[in-house]
Formats: sequence, structure tokens, C-alpha cells
Amino acid sequence: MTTIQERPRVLDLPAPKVTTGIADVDIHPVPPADALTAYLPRRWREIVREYGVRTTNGLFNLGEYPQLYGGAMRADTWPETGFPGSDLDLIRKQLLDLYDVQLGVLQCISPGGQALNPASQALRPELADALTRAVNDWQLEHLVRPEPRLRAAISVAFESPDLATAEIDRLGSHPGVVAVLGLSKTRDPLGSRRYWPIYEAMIANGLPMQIHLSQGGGNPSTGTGWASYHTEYHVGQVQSFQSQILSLVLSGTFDRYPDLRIMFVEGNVAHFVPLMQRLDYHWETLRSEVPDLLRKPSEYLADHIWVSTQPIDEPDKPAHLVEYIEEFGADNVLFASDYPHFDFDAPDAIFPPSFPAELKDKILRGNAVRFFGLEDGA
Amino acid sequence: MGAPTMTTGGTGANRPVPEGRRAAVVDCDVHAVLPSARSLLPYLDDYWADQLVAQLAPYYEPGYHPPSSPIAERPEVTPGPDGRAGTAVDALVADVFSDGGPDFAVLNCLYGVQQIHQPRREIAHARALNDWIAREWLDADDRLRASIVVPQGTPDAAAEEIDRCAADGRFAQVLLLGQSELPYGRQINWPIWEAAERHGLPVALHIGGVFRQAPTSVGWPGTYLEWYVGQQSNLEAQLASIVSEGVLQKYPSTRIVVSELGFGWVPPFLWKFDKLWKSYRPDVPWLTERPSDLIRRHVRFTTAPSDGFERPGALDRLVDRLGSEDMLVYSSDYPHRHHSAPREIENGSSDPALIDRIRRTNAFDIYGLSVHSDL
Repeated sequence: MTTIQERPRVLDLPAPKVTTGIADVDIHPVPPADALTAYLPRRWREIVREYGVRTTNGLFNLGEYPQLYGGAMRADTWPETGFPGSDLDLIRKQLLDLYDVQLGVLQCISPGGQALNPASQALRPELADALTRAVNDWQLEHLVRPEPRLRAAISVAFESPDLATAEIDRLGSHPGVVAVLGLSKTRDPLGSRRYWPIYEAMIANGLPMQIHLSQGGGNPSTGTGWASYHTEYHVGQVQSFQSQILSLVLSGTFDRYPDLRIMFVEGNVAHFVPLMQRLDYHWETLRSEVPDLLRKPSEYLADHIWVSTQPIDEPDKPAHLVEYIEEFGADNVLFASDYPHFDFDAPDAIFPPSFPAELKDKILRGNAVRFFGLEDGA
Repeated sequence: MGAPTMTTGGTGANRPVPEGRRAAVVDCDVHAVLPSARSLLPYLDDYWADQLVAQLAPYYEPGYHPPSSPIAERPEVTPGPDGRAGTAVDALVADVFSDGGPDFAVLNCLYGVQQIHQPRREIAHARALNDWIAREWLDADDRLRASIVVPQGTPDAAAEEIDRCAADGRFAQVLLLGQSELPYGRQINWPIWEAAERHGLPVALHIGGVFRQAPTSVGWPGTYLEWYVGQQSNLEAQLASIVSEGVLQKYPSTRIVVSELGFGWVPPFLWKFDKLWKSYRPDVPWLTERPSDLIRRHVRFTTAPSDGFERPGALDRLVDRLGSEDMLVYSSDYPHRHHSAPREIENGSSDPALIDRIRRTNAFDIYGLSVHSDL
């Protein structure tokens, strides 16, 4: 067994570049069975074996809303053995080669391969830390090293910022790492000052954060109690993102950290537009409560908030999609496929025929340059 | 003013107005304020009156509109004798029904009985509050209507309170708060939907909450502004619950009036809901039509605060995205102050017919309120 506690050997990787191909910001790898064991210190292996990974629900090995059909995987993504997302050759064939993905960002959310039961949500801080380190070391060694089109968003023990910052500092300068991975369901809203050290560490390492939708986190699935049905639960995902964007803006986090870049992944696009309009409207009346904010709320978006396309909004009239994207900010929307999940978006299929070519080009490649701080691809 | 006609049942848009009458202009969200907890004493029985006095009359004034903050009152409102807006009926009537005002106004009293944890006390106080509304408000002016305040923590008792108050036809609606302990679609809450449908009453879901858990799915917001703006998310959750659990199939005459919670969020919410309904239909087999179609038929939204849709063209764009002209009903949200005045919503559209629907006919569909044609 090799336990990697120190900074791993820095690979000889070129900086990612997106030129003729595309960037896909949401790919979900799953470690093959027992693959993480080799990266976990012995004491944690024993504890996990005996007690499991305790999270904020009372189940031994499951999130609150297990996926309904086939693990929510695209039917053709199952390898001969193991879970979808565990076979690098299949990721290459079905995604990277097929769509010319030059930068694919790994977000290892469910190391167990079943429900979303993230390592970062383990209640015991030291276990969350050990598990997330294991996930990161595994993906850098087994996916990024052999396939440099893939880069990692690193998982961290988000609810224990001291441990999260240590992990960001450990891996932040690794060329295989392009972002920090956060989850939409947190114990406190993201503007909370207890999370600020994480943002400081990200900025010190020149990294943005991708916040992916999640379950768990210690609060009910909605602000008015637990959803019952899967449709209802899944519709509710955007509500967490709505709460998070309000918190980030109104807490003054962006004033404090002018270099903070955050992307909401798998949280839709259109709904943020009326939300920010509503926020601006009420801020006009109630700004005496937040007198230190340096800008009108919606003006923070362009410099600080990016969103990804999947699952693409499907209005009855396709023109409405373009309108909302442009109202959100045409420079701040990136493409995501969500491979290998069932609601996978193919870059050649999701844009309606009337979708402007220039806007599509920005979403598929151009906008990645600023978010990830890439060298301009041109 | 002629006697109002109440029509019940049916959810179809634009039902016919009786001969010789026209659909009334309705202000669907006006706030009467309980001046003090002691105002309820005449309406509580001896036991609960003693309890209230012994407790030093704790005043469950909700924090939904902090009383000294800019949202609490518009500068031009007429205050009551205690210096506050909304505490005296004559002042409220003078303001709400002034020139060009509505034919009727629906009172939503937000006094926070729903935040009383002791269930029997919540039941007693809801009952007293409704009696206070009937005697001190509805008796004072026949253009006033009111929502029934219900003890949300005990749905069977809420249904009984609806039965009791509905006998007084001036109670035109049931009031529920936007945030509940369990989502409103849950079967435990069905007695409320059943009672509302039985009496042909729409159900208002108004900003506010019971605060049994954090009011967002990611914890407690730090500022009032964050809470207030963010409560739209809980309405997305409530509508998703009501539709998914099959309330609209079980109680097909249900009408819902989302009040003081915005409406700009509705189109993206409908698109997402439809898309996921397609993915998960076997989980909700009773949903045989798109959630968006059900919501368009059963749910209405009040126009104040107008959240920016008062800007020229913005309302027309929204209605196009909503795919329906039937979903908005006029409100002033008196006495609360917002960035634009209530009637400015009319600036958002270049279509007078749409504004007329919002002010009159869409409201007729839910409340059935009409006046003589010559009025």
C-alpha cells in the first residue's frame, strides 16, 4: 500500500489549452471498487470498514434520495465491470474523442458510485479530510496522468475550512488541478465567514471553485422541509443555488475577495436572471441593511459567477433560452456534459438550430479561458 | 356598492360574469396589523385570556417586514392611532380605496400565530384572530374581504377553522405561509386542501414562515434582504410538492394565490419541472399532464412587489415566457413599501387588455367578485 500524505510528485503536464476543441466542466469519474483503499491511511480504512462513513442521514451507505433508474447513468456508459465513469478508455471513446474535449474537468462526487454520498460530507472532519485526499490522489494518478485532457476539481473537507485549506495548499500548484470542488448543499450559506479561509486558499493558489449540485449537507432538501418525490427533489436543486448566490453577494464576500471565481455546475442558467433582477429591486429599498456593498448586487455576476449549461433549460420557445443566457451574461456560461449521467448533454445536440454560432463558440470554448485562467487559446 | 356575488368552483380562466355586472377590481393582498397581543383578549375564552395575561402578552409580530425598516410602510400611508400603518380600519380603508382604487381588497393578516409552538395555543389564537378580523375589519366596510388564518401545525384543526369561518362569506381565501414545517403537498396537510375546496376558497401562499427549520436549504441567511428575496425558493418547493404529491388531482378545484413572493421565477421553474417530469414520470404516475399546464391552470401570483417587471416591456416579455395571460392578479401589498408603487406594474405592458385581466378578470376567476356594471 502507498499512502500519499505529502505533495505528490508534480507531473510534467502542459497547461491546459482549449483551442479547436471544447471544454466540458462536468465529468464524473468513479473509482473502481477498492481503488481508494490504497490511498487511505490504515486507521481510516479500519474505521470505514467497521463504522462506514457517517453523514447527516441515518443510512449506512446511501444519500437521502437514491437515484431512481440504474444509478441515473446513461445506459450505454456501463463498462464490462464497475460503474460508469470508472473506465478511462470508455470516457475517452464516448466523450473526449467523440466531441474533441480538450479540457474535461473531473468532479468525483460519489466515490461509492451509487447515490451522491460525497467524501467531503463525512461528518467526522478528519475522515472527510482523509477521504477527499484519497479521491484527489487517485484521480490525479489514474486519470489525469494517463489522460492529460482530463484535469481535476479537487474535493475538500468543506465544513472544516482548516483541513480544506491544507488540501488546497497541498495540491493547488499541481498542474493537474484546475479548480476546487464544492457542493451546493452546505451547512451554512456560502457567504458565511467560516468558509472565507477556503476562498483565501483558492485565491492564493490561483484556483476557481466549481460548486456542483448535491444532496446532504445537514439541512432539509428545501427550506420548507424534505421533498417526497424524485421530481420534486430534483427540481429543488436549483433552490440551493439560489440561496447560495444571494448569500455570496449580500455577505460582501466578493468585495472582500475581488479575485474569487465561482461556477455553479448542474444548477441551470435561466432562473438566476429573474433572481438577480429581484435582488436588485429589493436592494434599492433595503440597501441600508447592507451599506458596505460596493456594487449593485447583479453587478457582481460578471466578475465572480459562472454557470454551466447542463441540464440545458428547455423553454417551449427556443428563443427564450438565448435571451436568458444573454441576460445572465454571455461570457459567463460554460458547457457541461455531466457524463456519464442519464441527463447527459451532447454538445452537438443541445443547442437549438437557431442558437447563435458566436454564442455557442463562447460557451463551448472561449469562456473557459477566463474562468480557468488559461492562456488564450487563439 | 351592490352586494357582491360569490361564485365557487371551477378553475377555468374567464368564467362568465353574471348579467348586469362586471368583474370587480380586486387588490388581492392588503395587510391588516394586530396592534398588540392584548387586542385578542376580547376574542379569547377565559382560559386562553388568562394564559395570555399570565405570559405578559407575548406579541407574535412577525419579522417578515421589520417594523422600522424601509419595507414596513410607504411614507404616504395614513397611520393608525398608534402611529403605525395597517392597525386601524378607517385609515387603511381611506388609503386602499382612494381614487382609482379597487372595488374590493383582501386582507392578509400576518400576525404570527403559526410560530406559536404550543399547538392548542396556536389553534385558540388563530380562532381569536379570525374573529378579530371579522368584527373589527370586515364589519367596518363591505368592500373588505379576508383570508382565514389557520393553525398550520394541526391540519385537522386548520380544516375546522376553515369550516367555521367559511360560513361568513366575507372570508374569501385561506392563508398559508410560504415556509411550512412539512411541504404543503404532504398528505398530512390534505385536510386544509380538502376544506378549502369544499368551500370554494382559494388558498394564498404568502411570504412568511413557521421557522421550524432553516428557511433555506443551505442554512440560515445572515440578512433580512437575503431572507426576503430568497423566499421565492420555498415557493418553488411548495409548488413542486403540491403538484408532485397529487393535490391537484385529489382536489381538482384547488386554486392557489402566491402572494408577495414575486413571479419572475416562474418560467424557468416551469421548464425545469416539465423536463424532470419527463424523466421521472413513473415516480408520479398520477401526473398525466405537464406540471406547467397544471400550474398555469391552478396557480395565480400577486403583482406586488413587482420585482422589476414594472419597467416598460418587461411584463409583456414575462407573460410571453409564462405562456399565459391568466396567472397574474393585482395587489398593492399595502402598506409595505417597495421600489415602485403598486400601479406602476401597468408600465410593464403596452397591452391594456392584459392590465385589465390582471386588475379584474383574473381575480374574478379565483374570487368570483363582481359589482354592478354601472359602478
